[in-house]
Amino acid sequence: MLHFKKFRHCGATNLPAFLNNRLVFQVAGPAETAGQKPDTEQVKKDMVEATERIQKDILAPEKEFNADEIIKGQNAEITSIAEIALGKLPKEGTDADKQARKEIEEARNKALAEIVANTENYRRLEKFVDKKTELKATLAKNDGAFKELMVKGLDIHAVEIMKKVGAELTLNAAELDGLLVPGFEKDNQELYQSVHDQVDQFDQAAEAFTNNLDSKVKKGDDALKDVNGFLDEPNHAAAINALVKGREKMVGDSAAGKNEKTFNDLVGERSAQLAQNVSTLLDQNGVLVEMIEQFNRAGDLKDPKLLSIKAAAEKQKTDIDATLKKTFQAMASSPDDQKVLALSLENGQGYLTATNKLIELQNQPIKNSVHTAEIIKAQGWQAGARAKAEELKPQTEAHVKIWALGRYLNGQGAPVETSKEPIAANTAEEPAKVKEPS
Amino acid sequence: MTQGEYLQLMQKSHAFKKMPAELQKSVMGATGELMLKYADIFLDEQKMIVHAQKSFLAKNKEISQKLTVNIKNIKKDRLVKNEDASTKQDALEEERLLTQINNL
Repeated sequence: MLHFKKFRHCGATNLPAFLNNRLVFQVAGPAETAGQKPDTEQVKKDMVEATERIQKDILAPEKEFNADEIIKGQNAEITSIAEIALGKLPKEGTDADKQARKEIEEARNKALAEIVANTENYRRLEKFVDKKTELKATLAKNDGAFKELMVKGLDIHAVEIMKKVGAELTLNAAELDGLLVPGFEKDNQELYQSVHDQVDQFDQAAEAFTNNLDSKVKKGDDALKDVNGFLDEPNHAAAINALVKGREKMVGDSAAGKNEKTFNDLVGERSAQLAQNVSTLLDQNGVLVEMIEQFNRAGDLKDPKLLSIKAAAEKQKTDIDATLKKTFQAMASSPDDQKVLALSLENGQGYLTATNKLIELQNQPIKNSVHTAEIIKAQGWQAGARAKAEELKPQTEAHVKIWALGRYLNGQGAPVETSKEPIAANTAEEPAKVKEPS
Repeated sequence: MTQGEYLQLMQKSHAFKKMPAELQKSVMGATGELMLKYADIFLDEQKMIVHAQKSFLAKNKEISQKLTVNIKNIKKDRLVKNEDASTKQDALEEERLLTQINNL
């Protein structure tokens, strides 16, 4: 219109040319003639409609959000907006037309690049949310499993799993950190703390369990050292003899219905110590057998501390066997010792009955002196021994174990493990009479 | 939340589909307190993902709108430049005509 007015003012000289140009524009379709206003309103309207349509489709609850499809549509839309604008420019226009073409192409490319960047951001956020959800769900699952485990009791296998899970959690948290999207720092920090707390909880439980295993093995080492030290002492033979005599006396007393003195009174401190040492080693042997079985059940271990405990337990088991043999040899080196062995073997069944009774009583929820008195009764001791029952209990156990030691080392059976199931009696129920060794 | 509602929630979850099979199994088999814990986690996830989707769409729309505005400005600028050139051309033409007339 501007041109028209101008030309009217100047005369109609250029009007046909203007009309001609206008005609060219109409014939050529959307291509604009140089200097004409673009029809951006329609383009904008189309674009808004397209976006609204996409949004409506996407946000409809029954439709699944498909980012790939959206990006495809969005790229097509950007390209289309630019193509329409470019199509309206004359092919051979003014410098301003050429510049506009260049700028439109640049704007289109920039918009496409922004779509790519926006998509990457979305994908990143999606990954972050996925990871975060997975981590939170894992924490919830672990928490439930951990509570159950605490009720059931830990074992080596569980400890290995806890260590593995803890390591995985730490890795996942680091991965989540790497995916962190701006705006989620606080949220992420809280989750990271939850992971840290759970890993700590696992570590502490695993460490307490491992330390407990370790201390069991160390306790065994100390016991072994004591027993070996005792066996190496020159007056060991005297202790063995006292033990033999003490036991004979006790067996004799019990047969006669007397039980006036304690085992310590009869055999002296050293032989009582020997009995106690052997008893401790046999107990430890039971602990090690159970521990090694647990290690074997756990399969391939990764934790270095658990591996070192396993090696120490296996070595200690071998050492205990050797020390028990050494003790037996020491006991069997004199006629008196042979006598105690024979005594043990002959009276074994009686002790076995007592042991079974003891185990049966120990397995009952309440442990008190009444149980021990029951054992004493089971051996045919006087009812008056009830008052001494608690005092006698360790010695009774020691006797049984020394008998078991003799039996074990003589190739007649495994050591008695008082913490386990009762041992089946296989012969007479009453204690056999003591025989003199031939 | 009923078990049915909970399972529907799981079906909608994007994160659930990406989870390791073992965890999926635990999630699907959850009951009681653990199920409620999982439900909270997945509702939270849905809120976040819907927010992310809306932001993604809004940003896309913004990019398209910006492009339209940019193109409009480019064209306006082009018109002004063409108009300037045309005005100059018209002035020259006018001068030439006036000279012609004066020379008559």
